[in-house]
Amino acid sequence: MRKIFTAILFLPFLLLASCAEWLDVQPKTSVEEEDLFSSEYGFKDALTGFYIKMGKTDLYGQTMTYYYLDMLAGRYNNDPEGILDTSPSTVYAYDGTYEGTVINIYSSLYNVIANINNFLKFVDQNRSVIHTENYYETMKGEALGLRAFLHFDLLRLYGPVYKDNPQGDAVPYRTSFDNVATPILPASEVLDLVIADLLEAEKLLDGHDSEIFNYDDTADPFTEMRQMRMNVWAVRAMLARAYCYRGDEQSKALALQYARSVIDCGHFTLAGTDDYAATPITPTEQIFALYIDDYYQIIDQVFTNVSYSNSLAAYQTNVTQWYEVASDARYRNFSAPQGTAVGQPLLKCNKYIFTGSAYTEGRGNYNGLDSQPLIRLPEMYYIAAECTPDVDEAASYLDEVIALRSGRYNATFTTGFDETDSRQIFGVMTGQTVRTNELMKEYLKEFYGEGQLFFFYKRFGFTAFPNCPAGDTMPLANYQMPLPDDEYTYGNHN
Amino acid sequence: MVKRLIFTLVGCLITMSSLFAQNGKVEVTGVVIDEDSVPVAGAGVVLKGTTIGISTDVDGNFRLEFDDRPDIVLEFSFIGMKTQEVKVSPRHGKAKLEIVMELDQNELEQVVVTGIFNRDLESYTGSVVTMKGEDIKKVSTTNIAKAISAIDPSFRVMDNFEMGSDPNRLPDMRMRGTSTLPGGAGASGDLVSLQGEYDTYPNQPLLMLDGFEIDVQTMADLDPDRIASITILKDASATAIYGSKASNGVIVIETLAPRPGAINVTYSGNVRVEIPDLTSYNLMNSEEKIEAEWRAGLYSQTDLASLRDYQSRLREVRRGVDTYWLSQPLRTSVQHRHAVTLEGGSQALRYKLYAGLNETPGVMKGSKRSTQTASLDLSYRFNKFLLKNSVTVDNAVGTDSPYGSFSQYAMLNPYLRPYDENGNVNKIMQTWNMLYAGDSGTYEVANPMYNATFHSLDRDTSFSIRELFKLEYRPAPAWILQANVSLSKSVSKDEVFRPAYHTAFNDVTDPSLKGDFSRDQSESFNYAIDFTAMFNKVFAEKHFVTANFRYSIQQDQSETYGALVTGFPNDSMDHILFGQKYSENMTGTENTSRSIGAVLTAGYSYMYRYSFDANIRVDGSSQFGRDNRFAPFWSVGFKWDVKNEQFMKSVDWLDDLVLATSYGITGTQGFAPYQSRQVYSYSDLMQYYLSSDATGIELVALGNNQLKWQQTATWNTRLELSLLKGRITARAEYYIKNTENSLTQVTLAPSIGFTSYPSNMGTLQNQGVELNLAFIPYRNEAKEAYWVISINGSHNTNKLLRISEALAKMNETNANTESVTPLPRYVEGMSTTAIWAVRSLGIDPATGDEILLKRDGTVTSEYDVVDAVVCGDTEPKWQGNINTSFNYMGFGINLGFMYRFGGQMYNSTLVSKVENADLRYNADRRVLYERWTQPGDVAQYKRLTNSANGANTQQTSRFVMNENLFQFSSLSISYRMEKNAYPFLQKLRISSMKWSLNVEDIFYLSSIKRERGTDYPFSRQFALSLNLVF
Repeated sequence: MRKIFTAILFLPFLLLASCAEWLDVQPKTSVEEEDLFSSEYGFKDALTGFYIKMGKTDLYGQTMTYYYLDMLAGRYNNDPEGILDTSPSTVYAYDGTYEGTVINIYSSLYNVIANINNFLKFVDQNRSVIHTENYYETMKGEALGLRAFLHFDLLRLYGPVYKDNPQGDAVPYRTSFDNVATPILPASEVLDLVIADLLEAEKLLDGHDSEIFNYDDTADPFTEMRQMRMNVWAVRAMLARAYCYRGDEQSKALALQYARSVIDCGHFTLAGTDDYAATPITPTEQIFALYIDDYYQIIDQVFTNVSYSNSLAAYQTNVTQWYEVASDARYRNFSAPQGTAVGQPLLKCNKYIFTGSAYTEGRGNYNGLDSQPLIRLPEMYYIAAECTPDVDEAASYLDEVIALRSGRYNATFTTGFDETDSRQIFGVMTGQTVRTNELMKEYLKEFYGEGQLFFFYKRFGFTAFPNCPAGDTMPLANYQMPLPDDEYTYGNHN
Repeated sequence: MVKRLIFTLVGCLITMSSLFAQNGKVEVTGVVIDEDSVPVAGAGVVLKGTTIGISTDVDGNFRLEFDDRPDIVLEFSFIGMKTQEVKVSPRHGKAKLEIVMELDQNELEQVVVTGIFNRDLESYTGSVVTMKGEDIKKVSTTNIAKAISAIDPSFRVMDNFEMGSDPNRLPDMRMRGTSTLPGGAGASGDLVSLQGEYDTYPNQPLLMLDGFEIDVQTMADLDPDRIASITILKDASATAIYGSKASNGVIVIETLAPRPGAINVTYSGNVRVEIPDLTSYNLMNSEEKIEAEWRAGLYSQTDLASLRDYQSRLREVRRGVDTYWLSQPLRTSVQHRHAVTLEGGSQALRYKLYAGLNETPGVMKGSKRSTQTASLDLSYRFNKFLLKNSVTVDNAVGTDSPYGSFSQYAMLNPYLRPYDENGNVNKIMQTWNMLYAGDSGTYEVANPMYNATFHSLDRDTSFSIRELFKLEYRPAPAWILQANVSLSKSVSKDEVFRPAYHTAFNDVTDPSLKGDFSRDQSESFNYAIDFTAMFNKVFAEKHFVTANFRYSIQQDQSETYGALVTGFPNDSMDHILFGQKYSENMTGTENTSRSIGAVLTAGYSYMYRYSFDANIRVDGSSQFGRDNRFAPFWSVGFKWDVKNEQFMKSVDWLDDLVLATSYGITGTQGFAPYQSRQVYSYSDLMQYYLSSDATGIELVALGNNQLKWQQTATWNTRLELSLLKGRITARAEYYIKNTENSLTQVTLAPSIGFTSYPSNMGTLQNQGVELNLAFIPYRNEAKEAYWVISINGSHNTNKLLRISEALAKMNETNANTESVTPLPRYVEGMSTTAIWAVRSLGIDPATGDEILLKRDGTVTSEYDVVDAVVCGDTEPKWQGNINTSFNYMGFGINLGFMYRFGGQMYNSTLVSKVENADLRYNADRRVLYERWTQPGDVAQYKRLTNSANGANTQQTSRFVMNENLFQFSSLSISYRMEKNAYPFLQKLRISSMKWSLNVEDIFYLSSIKRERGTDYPFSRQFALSLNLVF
């Protein structure tokens, strides 16, 4: 009896020894950071998370590409919320109707950055658990490249018109994940940090990136289809973008150099008219794109399975004017006119509709199914055309793309190339140089539904552009979104 | 005398004795056992009239030898049992005999049921209040929480002005104030991240039912007839054994144990009639309403269409249309509860079977809660072992009214007709072509009754099983060893179905999106294993020592998943399978938590004069951070029983005088302590990514590794007094509760990547007194007649002792945010229940505008939230209950009153339904009177306007009012009939019958006239109960 009694009394202490382990449970869907980053697989999960998060509708899966950003650039005359057909200038109501959107873009971008910074902390701290060759360099390089990419977009949205006011307040540049707010930096400092991160990323990725831009059953699945990740060429393309954005002669030379290197690298080819007709998403041109699982379900709601009055669409007259010739493959990609807004027939873009026969699932050649392009090869041609001092070279870069798209040769107008253009472009006197206007025409045609046009207008400070929602003049203030109030209230003021 | 603690003494059996005389000596032997057939060790056996006596041994045996004498009467005594005298004669011979003895009901109260250990009341230092099942039923036949609050002033059920008498509402309970900062301090709004139920009820006490931790719903569904006792553990000395869950107090509910004997059948049941109580509403009739609309300028005198609208409405008024919309969704509901208990058994094996059901249709048509419960209790005893097993099965279905929120009916204009000429419900009743300045829209007023014309569902169903197995072993009189295993499993689902013609889909065109069905399914499985050792012994008849230890492990697992399906063209397709389109994502959660606890309690009492208690508990939980898996909690208590002092023995008017004090540290339940850590989640990123063979994962939140565990230090002092043979009893308590490191979410700059992070916000202090007084003006034990009056009351002040820097910063931000409801602010020394408003000097007779006082004392007419100062406090100066009961033979009457005074309240009815009333809808009658109309008017309210926001009055002191409340909360009359007195019962084979009538919420007198029961009306309840024992 006494034995049982003693046994019962001591049982708890025996159990106590193993209980710390027993207590170690977590909800199934979550994991503590130390556990996550204790294996290579955890790093892969976290890195994959960045791309999936970027593809959500509040960022590049909608708002930052074909939706809000292109509404700002005047690409549409009709939208599901009924803003553009009633009071188009409302799209610039960053403190009013679109306050929530503006705050959400800001906090969502920084949320991805927070994830990246925490990853970067552990990638060095726990480097020893990353065993696979090239993984450490690739993953860290990608993370740095993405951090630069996201900050660059924050700068382009919330910063000043750079050429006019490079010292104007832009955004904080976050390099660590903690609760200490960092100061709102001048635009030029943000740009310097973007370039610094990109250069470091380039250094890490160079020689370690697999540079496989297609399906490869013989390769490690984590290293194929590199255009879906921030690969070394995407980093170089970003450097071209960033140097071009800085705009001084020295930077322009660097931008040209990086753009040329991407053009010449051999991984990407410009799509011809036929390719374009089959897969208007132009998979061979994607330097950096996001894969969004079942993207059609998101796209359908604005472009396909929706009445014209609830879709993103532009007046037929506008689209026809912008594409200049009916032979342009990109123009042919628009739907037949249907529906009207304010009595005008509307056209919808079919670029993102993945129902064509070319878009079959499978591991043949990559066809661009469910992808959202973020950097495409033509942009490198445009950057080269913008940055080269040589007029003919500039024209040849532009013409090369135009010829492939529309069969037109020597279409670029070079007279008085770097002087103020006296022509009306699509009915608008822009006040910009001929070179800029020629570029503008191409950005307008090429990047329909990719969100780049607004940034282009902002970079040159266009005070008027075709189909501007603000009307005949675009106030420069419309180019800069205000930071959320909470950034001032709870942020760092020094 | 050796005392021993026994759980469930209901009677006592004395096995008596063989006696035989030899050489002029008499020898008596026997065994003393209790009603559970357990040998009673240490029971006193005394030969009456002498000092000859002995204590029983471990096995209850005794042997007594003395000189032979004519009358041999032995006196047996033991704590918790009635002292018995037994006459013995030599005829009994040598054989050992067994006799059954009875339990002393009054002595039962000598044991404190803490839910973990049973403690001897005399040496226990903790502050506890025990109430019996009978006491509960005197106050309410259904609402246990309300009954507890009527009996003990420390326990409060917060007023719920929205949900009224909804049968599916849950009470918001708290003990001794709040230990959590109320929400709203942060810009983000959601302040404190809490888990599960505590999300909604952060200050809710821990509820224990027969050793199970239960949720509020289980308590709300419990049949009061099953309750043996409810014990409230208040101070740290009492609650520290619950460690990390104890800060909000603990309520321990014990159900009745099986009684032995031949098969015993009991029926108990009641029928309740519930009648809606609309006395707080004072809405305009159609004549007044059309007048108010006209005077407010809702119709333009120059616009023809508008005049036409006015004329057509006026015509309806003249035709006598005066719909009392409030009564449209209401009914008088009849509710009933029935329960049958079957119990009995031998001393060794005993059983009890309970089956009961409760149907509670609410006063709003279609709302209902019905529950069914069955339980089986078995206990088996052999030698020193006791085995107990109890299984309870609960099934419940709660349905919400298809009529929607009651507030919609209070808004409808009385000149509208609910039905058309064919008796069909009008879908759209009224269209306003707005003539408001700058407003060109038209507004349709839909008939909320329309959604009740077809079938829809809003129902939650739950089914749960609880199983408890208990093994007890008593190796020696001083020792009790126990092992318990408890398991519970529950399955529940929540279904909401709205067919395509529901008004929510009026604007939807896609037929595959019209109509929806959402279904959430949850399952939970919990288990707990405890080992307990209890030791109680008296040394040298002076030193009472107790030591208790419990080791417990627990695992709670729960899982929820839900789906939303759309496209339900008609109302007969009321199953999720009929839907046309599934929403892309399944929603759900999974959670497993484990905990380990070890409690050690030690107590020492000298002659029951000075008692000392100490508790220490170490809690380990999977929810605590990994570096910090275990948290300690402790308490110490001291009690001085003055009456047991030698010098007080002669003071015979004083029955009892006790002074006790305690201090301890306990934790608050419900917080997710891993908030301190950075956790990643797969939940939202479980999708394929083309160039990766991994799955996406993302950070859930920014952790705070400096986060400290929220804990509460409680200091409690109490005085208990009993005078004149129990005719006057009093109990007073004073406490200070400091909740340190109160947790909250701090807003961050969005560039951090997250909008907020958890932080400790400072120390919150609750301090208060509680008073209980009871008088027995009349007592006649022979006639079983008593008249008892009891008065209780409490006062609690709540203030912020210290605040963190972050909170101070938040105050600045909050000052810029406008709101119509009171803004809580957090300043050191400030009460968290203070009402902030801008001081008002009333309405300027010259202009009709409100004159406001700025913070610097200057006068203005511009409202600025920065000028808000404290204009009151919702916490009353004093509140409590007055109960009186009178019993005579089998007859009993009990009256309960509730009072509250000295607090303030912001009268939101006056603001939203009078001054800011949107006159397109019905409003309070006061909207028409005391309004300013022309210069020179001395008025109470601003002028009538046609704006949707009425006068757009912000929060000013004009609407902060003193609240004094007196409520006649319950009346019960009962009568017990025994078969001896009523022969007809014998014919019906009924051994006793008790019937009672309860009336609840009889009247409510308040110094503030405001609408109560906005989403669901209040009601008055009449219950007729019957108890039959066969």
